[in-house]
Amino acid sequence: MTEKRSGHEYDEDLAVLARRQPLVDAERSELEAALAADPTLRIAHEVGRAFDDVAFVRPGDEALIARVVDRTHRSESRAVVARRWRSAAAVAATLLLAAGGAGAYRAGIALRVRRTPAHDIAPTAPRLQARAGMNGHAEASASVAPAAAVASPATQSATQLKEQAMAWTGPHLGSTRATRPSPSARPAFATAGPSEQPPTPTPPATASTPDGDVTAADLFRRAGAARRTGALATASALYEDLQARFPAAEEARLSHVSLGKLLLETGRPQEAEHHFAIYLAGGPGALAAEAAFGRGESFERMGRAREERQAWLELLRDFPESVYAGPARRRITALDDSGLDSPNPPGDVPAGDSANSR
Amino acid sequence: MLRLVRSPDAGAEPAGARAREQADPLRAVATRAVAGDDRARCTLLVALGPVLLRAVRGVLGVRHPDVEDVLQESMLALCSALDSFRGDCQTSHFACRVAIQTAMNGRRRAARRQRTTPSVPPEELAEMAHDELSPAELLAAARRREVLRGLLDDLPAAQAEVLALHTMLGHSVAETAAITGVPINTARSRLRAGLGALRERAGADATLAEAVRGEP
Repeated sequence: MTEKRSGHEYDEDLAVLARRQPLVDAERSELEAALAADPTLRIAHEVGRAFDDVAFVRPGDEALIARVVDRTHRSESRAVVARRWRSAAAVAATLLLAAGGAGAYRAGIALRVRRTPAHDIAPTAPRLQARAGMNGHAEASASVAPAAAVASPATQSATQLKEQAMAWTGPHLGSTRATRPSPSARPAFATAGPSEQPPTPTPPATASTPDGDVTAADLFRRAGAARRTGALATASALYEDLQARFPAAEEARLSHVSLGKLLLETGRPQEAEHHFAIYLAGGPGALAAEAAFGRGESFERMGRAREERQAWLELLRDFPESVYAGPARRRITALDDSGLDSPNPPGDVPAGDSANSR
Repeated sequence: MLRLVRSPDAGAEPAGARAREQADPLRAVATRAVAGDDRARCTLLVALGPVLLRAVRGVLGVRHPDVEDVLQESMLALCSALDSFRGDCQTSHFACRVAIQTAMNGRRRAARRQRTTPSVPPEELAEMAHDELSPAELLAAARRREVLRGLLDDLPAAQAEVLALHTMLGHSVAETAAITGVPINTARSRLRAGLGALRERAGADATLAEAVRGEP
């Protein structure tokens, strides 16, 4: 059993234990006492339980994981091929560098040899002989000493050069490995933004791919990636391509909201409203409240106060509990204060949750 | 005087390996994946998928539109980081850490895209229809989650990581220390700092302010 510890560590772990499994009476009493005594622990416990309330496992997760694993595997395979090419290129460059260095060194030595009198070279012979003997090349004799004296440093130099080049190109030989973080530097890979290490290849200007096996999910993902990197025109083109090629796909429907928001950001509220309206016309959906809010914002940007007010009213009617209800009410109030001639009778604004009206 | 000293591990390696394998059933698959075995890598990713997905959803929100993208980023990051994994913690915990870090970065990117983040993401509100709690309780829980997620954006990365692992995913202090590769005391001090910030942040939230005061 876990040894009882004193202080916060025990209390925090007890709170965690309570989230994992039912506590025995003694543990429960201790936890209650700890929670009563420590507001910070109480808050942490409340917040933690709020996460436990959410069903993090959802229907379709297996398919989602399989899909992402497949994409990751393909992406990794491409990276491995690229890595091999880079490795091959680095090795070739290294060999060229080494050969070039050796050649240059040899040429320099050869020049020096031609200019150096024989008696200057002779004293090196015994040392070379000794080294040859040590290496088991006893047949090396003084007669070949000058040649050895030339060849050996050159060979040694080439080896050193190669070693230095290998050491220098080491990280490039496994460039991905080199960029892989050490445990201490692991956060570095995570802080890398999409521009530094994009999860997907740079999206093309159009969604057409040479292989032709692009899916709606691919296009949606690419558009999202482009949007995140600030390539709004590319993202917009990809969303439109997705809607044109896969009109029945769920991604296509979702993309109307994404594209609407994107158009709104880029100062094209009329087109944005069109896309939000398309999404809403498709019936209930996870992003319906967001689309309704986007529609109201679009009318606001267009300066069409009457339609804007109507859009906010529809939002309040359909999504009275949403987080957008408060801003919608405030906007209606502002419109009414500005003297908009409302076609609806006074008091047409549905009452809502005060928390959402903040 | 020379004395023969028997290493505590001498002769016990197979048993130790078996124990480690029992403690971390994915370690062997991870080792094969690092060695370049494609099938092992796929197996590992499928096995770790739920762990990664839970961490990503915890940080981003269950129905956040970027969940799938960030899950893939997490898997790629895991593949890249795997060969630096020294087995100091379970493979699933290591994966969890990678996913937390990747998701926190994804969330920060999303926050930069969006000038104003709603107090409760609409995708989470959609979840409420399927829950047994009352709408008020669900809204309060959703706001509490958002308070923590918002705090993760602002805290230093090391504190945010510990806070997410402990408070969001329910790891004990010792587990959190093992996952993050720091001594227990360091993990605990980071957790305390993070919880202190959470307490300050909670004062601005009506439902959590009650918890601060000790009301039910």
